Amino acid sequence: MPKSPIHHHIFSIAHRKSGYDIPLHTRLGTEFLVLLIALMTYLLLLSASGSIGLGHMANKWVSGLENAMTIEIPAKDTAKQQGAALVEKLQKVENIKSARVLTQSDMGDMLSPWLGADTSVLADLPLPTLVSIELKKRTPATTQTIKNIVNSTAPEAIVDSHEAWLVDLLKLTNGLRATTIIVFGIILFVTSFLFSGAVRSRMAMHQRELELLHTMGATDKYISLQFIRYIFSQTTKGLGFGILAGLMTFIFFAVFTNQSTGTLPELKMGEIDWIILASIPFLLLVIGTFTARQTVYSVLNEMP
Amino acid sequence: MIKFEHVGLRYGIGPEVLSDITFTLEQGSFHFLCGPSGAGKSSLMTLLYLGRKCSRGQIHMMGKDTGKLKRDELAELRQKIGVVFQDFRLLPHLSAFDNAALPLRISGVSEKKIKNHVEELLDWVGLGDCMKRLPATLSGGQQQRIAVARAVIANPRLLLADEPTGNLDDETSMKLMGLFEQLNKMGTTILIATHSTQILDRLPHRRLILNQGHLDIFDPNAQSTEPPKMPEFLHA
Repeated sequence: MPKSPIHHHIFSIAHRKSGYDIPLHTRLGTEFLVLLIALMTYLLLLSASGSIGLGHMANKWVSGLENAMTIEIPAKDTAKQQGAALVEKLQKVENIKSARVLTQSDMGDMLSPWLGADTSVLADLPLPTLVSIELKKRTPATTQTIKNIVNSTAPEAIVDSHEAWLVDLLKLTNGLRATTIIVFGIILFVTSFLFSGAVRSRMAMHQRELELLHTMGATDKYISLQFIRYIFSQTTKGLGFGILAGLMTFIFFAVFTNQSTGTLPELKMGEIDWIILASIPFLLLVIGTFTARQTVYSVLNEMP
Repeated sequence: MIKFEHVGLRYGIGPEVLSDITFTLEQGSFHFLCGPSGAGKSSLMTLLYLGRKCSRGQIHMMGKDTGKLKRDELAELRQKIGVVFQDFRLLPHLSAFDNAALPLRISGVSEKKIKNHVEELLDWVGLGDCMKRLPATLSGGQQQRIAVARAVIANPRLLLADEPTGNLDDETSMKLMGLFEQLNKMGTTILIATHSTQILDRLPHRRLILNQGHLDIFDPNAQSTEPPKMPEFLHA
């Protein structure tokens, strides 16, 4: 159906007011670009928050295990007396903040994720006596002193300094964290290609208009500003959708983890974490406008 | 004003479409560019509006060697050249007003001045009541006048027109030529590529005659000038 002159009039004014001499926003594919930017924003938010979350998790595990040791005295009649003797001696060591024998209630709390709330069954099990030590600072000398005390007081007891756990956990979390950072970088790289491709395709679509502006004496800056404005507006729209999808995922994740049994450390975002996440849209805008500018300049450079 | 010295042009690795072109256009002169199809008129026009770099030779324009200019300086020089294309090349999404205003916007003129100048010029070319209409809603003649208005709005020092009367009837063609002559009297250098023998017969301006990439110059006003061998189509 042919468009009326009134329709033409309204849209012509609208187009010029939007600042485009080149009809960049009147071709198909604009929605697709917005959708892709939204997807990239969403993926960047997920990978950044994943990296932040894993960092927190690693820190909590490290701080929880780094200054802690556990002594396990196998179940036997004298285990409780040996435990009490150990605590008495350990409390006198300089770098030890506290030492105590774990009660049945403490063990019940620790095992509740597997055994449930009813821990009365623990009384019938031949459980070892556990001595929990909190260190002020972990040093090789302190570790050796503790091992000497244990050897002299309860020779059959096992000292668990959590080092093996700690190293493996850190390897795992740091590996995952590095992966999320690499993924973040790849997404940024792909996004810059996306911007470049979008600008190139639109420049090819509007080659005739570009040549006309060039002939009239439009500088590279004048032409590039039109594309920068276009990419900026499309990126802003895409960011809106991407951030919305990201927020919905965070809310879903928060509700989901709120129902967990407590075996994983609780994840809370700090101010810096929010600042990092909030900087992602700005980062995308900067990359988008910079890539658009460079692409336009590089294509125009092929013209005399 | 404009000086071509042994200019040659080839596209890619093909043969030269313009060979050893040498001529000078003085400031305020009026010239016609004639020649059969395929003679190289469009290529010469492209060189004149700095749409391409020559393969050899030198082009001096407004006192500057165009081969030595930076990109921004070339853009600045292009702003002093108005071009009327045979196919108008109006931007279909812009109104008549915005099409005519384009060179001023490119030059960074204020919107207030643009409004005054464009309205005045569109009135002058008889399109005062069509300013807000899109090119698609205008006749060929009206589109032609917008193209002319766009070419002259920034008061260019050189006006190039490629077959500007190709789509117009005789009466409108002569009116348009009258408009060009008025501009020329105001000091604009004008070069018009045309096939029209009617126009060439009526207006005794110097002619640059291109044939197979070579250029001859003929001045109908100079009694002593021996006319070059004219292509057949000009005698038709």
